[in-house]
Amino acid sequence: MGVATSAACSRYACVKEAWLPLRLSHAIIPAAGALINGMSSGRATAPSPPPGGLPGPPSRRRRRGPAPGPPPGSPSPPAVPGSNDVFVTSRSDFRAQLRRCQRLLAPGGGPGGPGELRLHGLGLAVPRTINLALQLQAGAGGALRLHASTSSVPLRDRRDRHRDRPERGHSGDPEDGGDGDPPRHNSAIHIRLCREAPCA
Amino acid sequence: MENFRKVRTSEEEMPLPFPDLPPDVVEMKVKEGSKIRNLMNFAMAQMELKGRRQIVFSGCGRAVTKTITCVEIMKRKLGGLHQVTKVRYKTVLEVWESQDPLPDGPAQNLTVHKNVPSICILLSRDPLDPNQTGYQPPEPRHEAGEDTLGSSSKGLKRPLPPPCEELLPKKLQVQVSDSPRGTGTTAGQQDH
Repeated sequence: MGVATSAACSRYACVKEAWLPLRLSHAIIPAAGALINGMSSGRATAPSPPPGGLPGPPSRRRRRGPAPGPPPGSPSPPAVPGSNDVFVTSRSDFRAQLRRCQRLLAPGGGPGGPGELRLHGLGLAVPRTINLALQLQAGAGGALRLHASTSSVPLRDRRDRHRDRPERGHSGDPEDGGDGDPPRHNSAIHIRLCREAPCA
Repeated sequence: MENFRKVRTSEEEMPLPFPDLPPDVVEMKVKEGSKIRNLMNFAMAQMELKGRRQIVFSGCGRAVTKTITCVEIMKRKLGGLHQVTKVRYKTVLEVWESQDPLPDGPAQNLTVHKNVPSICILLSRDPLDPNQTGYQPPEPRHEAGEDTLGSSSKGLKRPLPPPCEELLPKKLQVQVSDSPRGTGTTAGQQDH
């Protein structure tokens, strides 16, 4: 049963299971509600037990406090959009990408420092990345410097297990675990734009 | 434009954006339909010639990605190459002809100037000026380590040789011809 297995789960997982109505017992719902309230207010209190005792695992009642964050000592998450790294895709509207880059290049625009921007493009987005960089340079009136570099990015394609079952006795790549094909390489370009001359 | 068809496409010739290049430098012009295998065969043959220290790859429009791919393949095969990357616009001239010309006049032609993004990449065995824009130093030689690891992993992946137990009875039969087959093992071993 889902309730028994969730005894050892983290607080977040317990809150997640609150949205599975068919699996919850009446003891879990008030606990989950308290946790959600605790998350919103910053502090949670244990629910009052119903008369006649509580069914379910006793450890659930002892959980208090806000939702846990990342464990201590874990590496910080990677840079999120909003920094001065822009990952260019061929799906987005070009004018919107250009506007966003101009806003980041403006003084006080990006957290990484005003007037510095890094554009990254992979595969089919490489010509668009170059176009974006050259448009930004043309709009800045020659005050921008471009520093372009290239690289290869290994990509791994995951096969759908239900459709393509590997034959028995097929050795395959042990690193995949039978899940995907060997990695293929795709070309990427990285363009650094900076207002100071020359780029460091 | 639905009544027009493209008649001719030409690129504007522009000098290479790298200073102090020898006049006989090999320039690989990568097009959209170029085959990477053919390009690499020719480029590798040129770089293996004595006196060839530099090579330039250039492409525009849809050939930009292929240009970068060729450069990355060459860097992986040769290793220790210094790279300078320059991006700029290239003007492409397209001539369109009217499919439905006027009866009393000549065919209407339309010339379109397109600025397409282009890339020029210089690869050199000799060190280049690191202060110039677009300079990329050679990558550290991980490929040698990866190759040895790959070869060792390939060695691990090889199937184990068949166990010697299958060969023992045959060997014993050859070496100890007088001993019966049922008691061959211990008698054979004692003889040795």
